[in-house]
Amino acid sequence: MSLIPNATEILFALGAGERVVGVTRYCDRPQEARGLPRVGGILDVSPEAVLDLRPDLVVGSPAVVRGRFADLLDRAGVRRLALTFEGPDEVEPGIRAIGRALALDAEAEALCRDYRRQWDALRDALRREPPLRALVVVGRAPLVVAGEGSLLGALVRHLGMENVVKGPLAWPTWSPEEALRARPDLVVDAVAEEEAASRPGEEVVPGAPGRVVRIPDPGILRPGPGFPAAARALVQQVLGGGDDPPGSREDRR
Amino acid sequence: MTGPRRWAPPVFLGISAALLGAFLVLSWSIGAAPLDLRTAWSDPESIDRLILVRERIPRSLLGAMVGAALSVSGLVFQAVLANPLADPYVIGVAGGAALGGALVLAVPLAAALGQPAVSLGAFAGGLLAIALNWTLSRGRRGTLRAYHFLLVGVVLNAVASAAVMFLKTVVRAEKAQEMLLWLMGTLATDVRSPSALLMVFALLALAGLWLYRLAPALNALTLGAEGASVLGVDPVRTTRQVFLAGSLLVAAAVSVSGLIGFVGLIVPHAVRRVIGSDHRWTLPACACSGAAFLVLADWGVRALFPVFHTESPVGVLTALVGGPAFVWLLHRTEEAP
Repeated sequence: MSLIPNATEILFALGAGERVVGVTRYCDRPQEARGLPRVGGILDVSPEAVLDLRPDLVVGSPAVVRGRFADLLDRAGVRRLALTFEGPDEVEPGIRAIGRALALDAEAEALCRDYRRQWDALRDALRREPPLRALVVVGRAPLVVAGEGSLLGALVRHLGMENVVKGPLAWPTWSPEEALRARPDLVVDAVAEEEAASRPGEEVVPGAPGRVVRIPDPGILRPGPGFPAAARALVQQVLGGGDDPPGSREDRR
Repeated sequence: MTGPRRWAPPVFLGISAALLGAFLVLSWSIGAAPLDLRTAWSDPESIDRLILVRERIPRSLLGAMVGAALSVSGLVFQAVLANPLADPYVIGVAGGAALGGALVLAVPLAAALGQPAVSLGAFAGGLLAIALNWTLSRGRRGTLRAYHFLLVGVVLNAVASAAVMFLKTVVRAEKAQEMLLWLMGTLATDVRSPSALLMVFALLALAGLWLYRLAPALNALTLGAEGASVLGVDPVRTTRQVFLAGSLLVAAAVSVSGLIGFVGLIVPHAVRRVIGSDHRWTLPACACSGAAFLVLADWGVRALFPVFHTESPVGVLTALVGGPAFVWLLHRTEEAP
């Protein structure tokens, strides 16, 4: 039973998809997960629905797999695993923990190796001296940007770039003036499709220097086995949309 | 001309109690997942037993307690403030409790302690807000100025709401979502153990009995301060005691369930409309009806799980049902000859 979409992807990538008995309503990847029984959201899980599916193992967020829910699982003899996936660094420990819980250690190790190799290739492709300075925009009005403590901030760091947004806040709101003053080399447009569509033709940050690239794959918002592939589409745009960067599907054959 | 037809209070109380019993049984029998009551009864090791005893029964009992507390506090606040729009949250307790709970959720160390820390934070926040409101609303002779009490309560709620909004912008997305769910009012909290339920019950029962003792004085207060004094009731003392006991009820309820709206507004109105304003009857009737209403509403959100694949916070349902119902009641009351 997976109560985190990231864990659902890992379970399927480990070849354990057929053993998954229930997921959250956000678990839409891979395609096969969409047909599985839903037991709630990431935080609003129904303990009754979970127990009704008689799982042996429940993988969930620490905010959920605790307190009375953890107590219920313990009393029902269900093993529980609390994991977070807040950045690319947490994927490998997550893969290993799930692999260990399912006695799929070798598969988990292979998946981790592949995951690491893809990231290394992406980092090599983006290596610059000094590093590229990126501004990630997640909302236009107001201008909400990704700070160092956010998932997208972690992605920027993981790709070897420098985030121009400093400070402890994950999603600070900036004035356009601050965005201009930061002088990014790259503006990453991560605004939701709906908001972007409501402002056709409008610049992400009017007058801001630097190239604008659009996050092409929503998978980039979900650290998991598919994370590097989603990031690769972004890197491809940064490199000018030409050849596939190293680590692409063709390159791995 | 006759007024709206009223029910005999004992009959209404009996029906409310019976409905509460029926809704409790309903909430134990039908939920988010199928459950066989016979298996739950006969097999102590079954999952059905676990769901019934550890999930459905404690949750419905908690709902009954919170519903009773909110309705009773709404009733007495409306009486002493002589304002039919006064609800349990208007005096600032909502904002204080919300901010107290949200602060605990935002601080990683405190949040790691789980629900008890959030409940304690909300309880402390609620009491602090009431104490602050009390201090700011007292007149020169120590009398409580009801008008000030209401307005300061509104201001406290607004300031606390802004502080909570700020907290939501600085915490992680998942934490903000956790705060949102809690603030919307839910019975899916960690208050499940018999000892925790007993503690909540003891606190609510104490405050409830205190208010019941004040029922004759509350009746006298409806005649105004002067009228109450003529009947030998000290209006200042009574008001103070009612606020203290009522605030305890609200703070305790909010601390275990977040902010469940409209229960404390609509139930007292409906009860008064049906049986009149004698607090010796409206207090127990509100307790029973409020309990029944919230147990039914919580059953509703659980029963709707297969449709929406989520258990919406019960506060969403009480607001969706309570808002239109309140307007309808108001309309009917004005139309009554």
